[in-house]
Amino acid sequence: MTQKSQGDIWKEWATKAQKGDKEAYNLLLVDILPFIRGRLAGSLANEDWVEDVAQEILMSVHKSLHTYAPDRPFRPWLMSIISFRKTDFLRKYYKNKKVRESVGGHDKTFDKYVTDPQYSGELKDIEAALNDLPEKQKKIFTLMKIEGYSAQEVSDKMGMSVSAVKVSAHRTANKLKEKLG
Amino acid sequence: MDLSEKEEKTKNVISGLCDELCVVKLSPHPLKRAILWCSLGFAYIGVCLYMTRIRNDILDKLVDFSFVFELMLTLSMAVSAGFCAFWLCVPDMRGQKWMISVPTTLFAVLAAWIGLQTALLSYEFPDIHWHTCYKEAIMFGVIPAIAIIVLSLKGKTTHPALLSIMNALAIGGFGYAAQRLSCGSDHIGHICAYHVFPYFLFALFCVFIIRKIYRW
Repeated sequence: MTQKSQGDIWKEWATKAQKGDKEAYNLLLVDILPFIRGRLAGSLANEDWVEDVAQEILMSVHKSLHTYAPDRPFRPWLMSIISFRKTDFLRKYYKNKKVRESVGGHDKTFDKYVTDPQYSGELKDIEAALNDLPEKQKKIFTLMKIEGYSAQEVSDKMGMSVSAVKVSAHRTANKLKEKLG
Repeated sequence: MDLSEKEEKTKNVISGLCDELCVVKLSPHPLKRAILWCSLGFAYIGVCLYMTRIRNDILDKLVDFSFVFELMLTLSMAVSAGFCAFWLCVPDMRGQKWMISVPTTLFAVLAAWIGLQTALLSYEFPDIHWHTCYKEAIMFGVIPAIAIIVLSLKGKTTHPALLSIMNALAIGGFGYAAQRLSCGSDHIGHICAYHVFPYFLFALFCVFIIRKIYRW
């Protein structure tokens, strides 16, 4: 007896799902999720984005299930949706001028030598200096300057105004400069 | 929201989608839609030409190589672009991505053909004013355009820009051919200003507006 390939199994589940089989549909979505994450992981910068786009892809699969032809392989159909959603996500992301400016700002912060092992001692000093700061200031600085969130995103997270977030990050940077000489 | 919360949300999305699932009505094969649209397009333009007028020198023109070549080129571009549009309504184009090269090549040949005529024949750009050819361009173009857009919306494309370009080529091709059959002028300036220009505007409309409608 020949063993079915993953593509054949997906095809079978997709065909059953089109007939309203919820169990097969659940199996299909659960099984394609690691594949989707794997395809996205190589081209998206962080895991949060991967998860966001993966959710959008699952919803797109649901919306376009009627366009899948049971006589065709499932994987190329899914790959087209993955590629479309990924491009769409990146297009929207880079279209956002504020984010673009924010990314430009980070370029200055993340100069090449920051991750260079010979500067790891300095990195530890920065971490120690950060730990001495009040929790709120530390969080804002970490989110904006280390994790790469825009001022708008941080303000949404913290429930503060954008200008207050920017002022806080700026003051923290100045404090760190003073501390580290 | 941290990563584990997002993963939890993804699980919830999956269970939500499974709950929503009902029997899906499959999209018809793109060939069926393409044949339907092309038949309707030809029939509509035939009726329009019958109701308006066919150029008086049509019998002479049908033995003129350059006229017949241009007409065949335009119609084949329109039909192939129509077919491509319906294949593009399926995310992976059913594996037939090569199809895109047919209308784009034909369009390149048509553009070169018109460009060559413009360069070789005496080109005088006429004064732009409201002309019966514009009215005919609208008449030939609007109904097939609505039909192709409505039919395209029934699918889910992963190439909205390409789909809108194919729509523009299909409508432009049909309309241009119909205008060459109805308008008696072969002057290249007139052709550019009154036959090509309206479809050029339609192409811009497709590329900037219709493309957005196809996003999902």
